[in-house]
Amino acid sequence: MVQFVLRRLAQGALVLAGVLTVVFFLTRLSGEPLALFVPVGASSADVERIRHELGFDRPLLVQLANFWRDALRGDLGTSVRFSEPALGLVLERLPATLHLTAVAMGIVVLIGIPFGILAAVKRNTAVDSLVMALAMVGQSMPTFWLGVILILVFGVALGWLPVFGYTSPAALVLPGVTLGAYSIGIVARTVRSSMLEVIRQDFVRTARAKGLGDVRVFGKHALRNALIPTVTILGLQVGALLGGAIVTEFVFSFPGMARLATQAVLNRDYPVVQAFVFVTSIGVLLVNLIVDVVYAAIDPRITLG
Amino acid sequence: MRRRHFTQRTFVIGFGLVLIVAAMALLAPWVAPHDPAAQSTKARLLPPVLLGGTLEHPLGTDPLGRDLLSRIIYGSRISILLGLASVLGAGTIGLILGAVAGYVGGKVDAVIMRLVDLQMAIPFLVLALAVLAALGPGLTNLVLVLVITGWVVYARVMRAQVMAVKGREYVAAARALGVPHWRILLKHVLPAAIPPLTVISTVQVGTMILTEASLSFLGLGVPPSIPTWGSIAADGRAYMTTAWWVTTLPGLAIFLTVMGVNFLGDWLRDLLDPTLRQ
Repeated sequence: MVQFVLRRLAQGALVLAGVLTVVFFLTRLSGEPLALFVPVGASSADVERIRHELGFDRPLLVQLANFWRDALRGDLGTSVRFSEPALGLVLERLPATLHLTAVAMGIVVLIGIPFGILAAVKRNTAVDSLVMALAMVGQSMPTFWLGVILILVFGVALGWLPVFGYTSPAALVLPGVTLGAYSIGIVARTVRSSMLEVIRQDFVRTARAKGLGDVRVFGKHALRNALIPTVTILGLQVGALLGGAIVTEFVFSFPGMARLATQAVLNRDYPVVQAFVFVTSIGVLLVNLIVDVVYAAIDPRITLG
Repeated sequence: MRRRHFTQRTFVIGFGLVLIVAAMALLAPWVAPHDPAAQSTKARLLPPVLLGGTLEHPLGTDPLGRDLLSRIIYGSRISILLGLASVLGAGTIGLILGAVAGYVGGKVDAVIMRLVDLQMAIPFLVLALAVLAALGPGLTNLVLVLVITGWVVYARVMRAQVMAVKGREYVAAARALGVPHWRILLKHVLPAAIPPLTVISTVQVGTMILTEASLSFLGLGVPPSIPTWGSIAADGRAYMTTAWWVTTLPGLAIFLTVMGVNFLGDWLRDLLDPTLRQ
């Protein structure tokens, strides 16, 4: 177990080195990386000074090695706009984004899983069709659109919930729903289809033959097994939520790291964008690791080795 | 039997929605009541006709007095084109890389799959943001971003399909007969992969339209001068509470289109992969 986690951590570190390489080379995509690090309106003398300070006058591989070395020390450059370490700026806003993602994930689990079960139990009825249609709606709505509608209805028209910023826990509700909507649909559909998959198997038929009622068959025998693929899908949703946070935080003026990153792109503050990609990837990799461990814990057929 | 009924309904809804949008895009010059770029200072932020506006501008106008209906109609062209172009690009690259990885195996496979792992560690929209930050906004850059972020799905499916078929006798027989590798891939391996790839591509068109809209809404996608559903919605950002129609109506167009595409994808899945039918 410890060995498995250690090996996965090592693999994760390798992927992270790859992520760093990608964000490094992305700056070279446009041909003139310096443009991404110079404040608007800098004089040509300033530009030359910055070029030297950032090492753009050195060979590419030396630049990459230096970038890795600095990143290992937690230095992902200095924000052009705030003149502060980019990583620090992102980490300052990480908790707000984590709260938002956690609330969204909670909503996804609490709505997606029960409704998926309901659709499977009532398969091929009007209830099933309705749940699946709603799941489809959730997956088809643009995040910004749902956010704006919720703001207009629950914030402006009804005045029930705060719609801007993050001043109280209540301010997490609307952004949480907005962020979770897409994943609710996916999770509900996955739970439904894996329930139906399990129901067809022999041990469920045996349970039925023993004379067990619907509640026991579905709740005990089928659900446990159906939840195994759901764990994978939930893990994948963390990445989707962190990406979706970019739009959600923007719409709700939510002071998280994703909004910081969007502003950084608009202000051409590339070090902050790099730090954001870095922190997000660490999050995704950690979640993948947790999913694998949980997987082994709930499925006795899988052994970690 | 009921399921069959449901399947037919998904097709009717999906196909109907997609057909309407496609017709709108193709016939834009004839069905749009106004020039989508024509500004009017006297007609700024007029409400839709149902909210006390005029029939002159059935869906109201934007902050520059441009007719919203005409902009949404014209916007469908670029939004759909972007969706199709990026799926075509990402699909082609993913298909080739996936096929090569699965067929050649060994080190080539390892390199390509590490690249896939790498991209799986960066959420789709986060990567798109980072690439756009480096490239700057623009139509071509946006397609490039969507292709860069989208190829992984195809590569994984294609690789799995190739690996599943590679060991079969008919492939071995073809090789023994001296059929070149590219021909084996094209004639014997690719056909088996077409059904899942068709379903994925369909659903991906919707995903790409959503991604484009998100990025353009943030002001990172296409420049404001090009009307796509995302950029039209972005025009209304500052007027969200007073002139909500500028943001919500293009959003509604995206929603209905993507839903149509998703329904079509569901129907295709049922049609092409009977094992998934329940």
